[in-house]
Amino acid sequence: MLRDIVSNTHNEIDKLIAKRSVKFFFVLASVMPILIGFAAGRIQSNDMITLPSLSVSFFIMNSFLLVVLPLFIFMSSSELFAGEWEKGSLFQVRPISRMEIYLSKVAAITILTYMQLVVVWASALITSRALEKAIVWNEAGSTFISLLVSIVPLAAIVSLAAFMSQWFKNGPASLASSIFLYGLMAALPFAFPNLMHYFPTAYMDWYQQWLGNVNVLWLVQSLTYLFSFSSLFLTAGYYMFKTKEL
Amino acid sequence: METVLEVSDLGKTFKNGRGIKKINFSIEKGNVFGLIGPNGAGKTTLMKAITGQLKPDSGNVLVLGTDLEKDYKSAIRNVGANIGSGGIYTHLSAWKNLKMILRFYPDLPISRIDEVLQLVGLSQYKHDKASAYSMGMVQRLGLAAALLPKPRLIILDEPANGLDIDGMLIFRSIVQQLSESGVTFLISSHLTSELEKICTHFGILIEGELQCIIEKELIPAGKSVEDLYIERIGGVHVAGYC
Repeated sequence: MLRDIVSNTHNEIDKLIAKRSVKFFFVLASVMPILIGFAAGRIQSNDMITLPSLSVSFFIMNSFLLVVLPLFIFMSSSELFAGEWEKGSLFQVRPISRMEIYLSKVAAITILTYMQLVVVWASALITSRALEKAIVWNEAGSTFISLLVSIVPLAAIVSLAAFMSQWFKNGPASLASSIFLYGLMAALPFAFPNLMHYFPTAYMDWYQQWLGNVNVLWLVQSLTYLFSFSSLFLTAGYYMFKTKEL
Repeated sequence: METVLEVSDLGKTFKNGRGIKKINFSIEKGNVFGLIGPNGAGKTTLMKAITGQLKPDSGNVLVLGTDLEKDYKSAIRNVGANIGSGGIYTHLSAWKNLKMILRFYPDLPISRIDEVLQLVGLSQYKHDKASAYSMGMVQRLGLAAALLPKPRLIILDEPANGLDIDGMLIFRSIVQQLSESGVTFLISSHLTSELEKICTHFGILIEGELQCIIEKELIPAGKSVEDLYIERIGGVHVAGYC
């Protein structure tokens, strides 16, 4: 079973990275931290404002975690599920079960999303080195912890995206609806603050809880919530996926 | 003789009332079974149900004695298929498309990809994206994909569509050579003249029902499969052959 999941994950990654849009996201992940870093450096050199480099790194990280990576997840999920359904390539005559196909698609999206985060982190680190003339190890360590723990809320978004894609028979409809839902989840807490912690969007900057004074109880609670959310939508998505017919 | 494919009471009805009804047939090792029928008769539905792409409402499918529903992976490991063009990713090259299939068959060497591309005459275009291929080239690639895992049963849906004369000759030669070596085929087509050249058995499928199975050897001189098919479509019972 594991061998087939690994083989198909490899296939799904191959399919995605051959897409221009996916290449664009990777270019964005490597270039954007450099541009933001140098823009911040220029502002500081003009003495207009003082920006701590750690804030710049976290600003970059936040913009990717809150906007760019969810967009990438929804795009990839729409492509691998609804898009393939539309093209008739979702199920093929291969010795692999539907559960293995589903898990490998989810794994491929998670791996590529995380790879982008690594690219962002490395690019931000190199930019910081270029601007500060030395690596600030404290900053590098903090952003590295952020990098490691960010997989948890991202996995929850991947599960949600996989579930959403099962409802549609074409990629664009799935993508538009997923973005709308994500926007709604991000916006609703402004009107109804009590709802905030029911949506995974509230946990996208979850990594910040790991820095400084760590509140263990809050970490356990949020981890339990994110794990439950992921399990629920992953299972519901699979249920819909396995009953599909070409 | 070994039975490679056994279909029993296979049925599938869609919301619009169309589909296939209680299909029963079997194919012996090395036979080439041609499925003939008008558009919408249920040929592709039958093939999709046989390969597990559609879940049948009733019946079961045995591939070399293995129940498709109970042990899908073991059963399908012996099957190569090209049903529609859905199996081809047009943003990838022919080589990459086949590489993705090969990953499920770790016993096969990487050289198998070039072997099948050579066989279908696509070697010189192997690194071109499939989106740049003509319909005939996509058909050839689909055939290569079906042949790649060295299956014992090959299922091809309208494989002659879009093929040029050269492609048709290659296709015919591959089917003949492989069937002689014991590979079994299930091929659907509306080109009865083409099927007549390669098939050993014919099944006439009309409105989701397998009306009759004709053995090529029993067709009298002067009659073609097309004649029998037209008689059947016209409601005339083809005594002695069905």
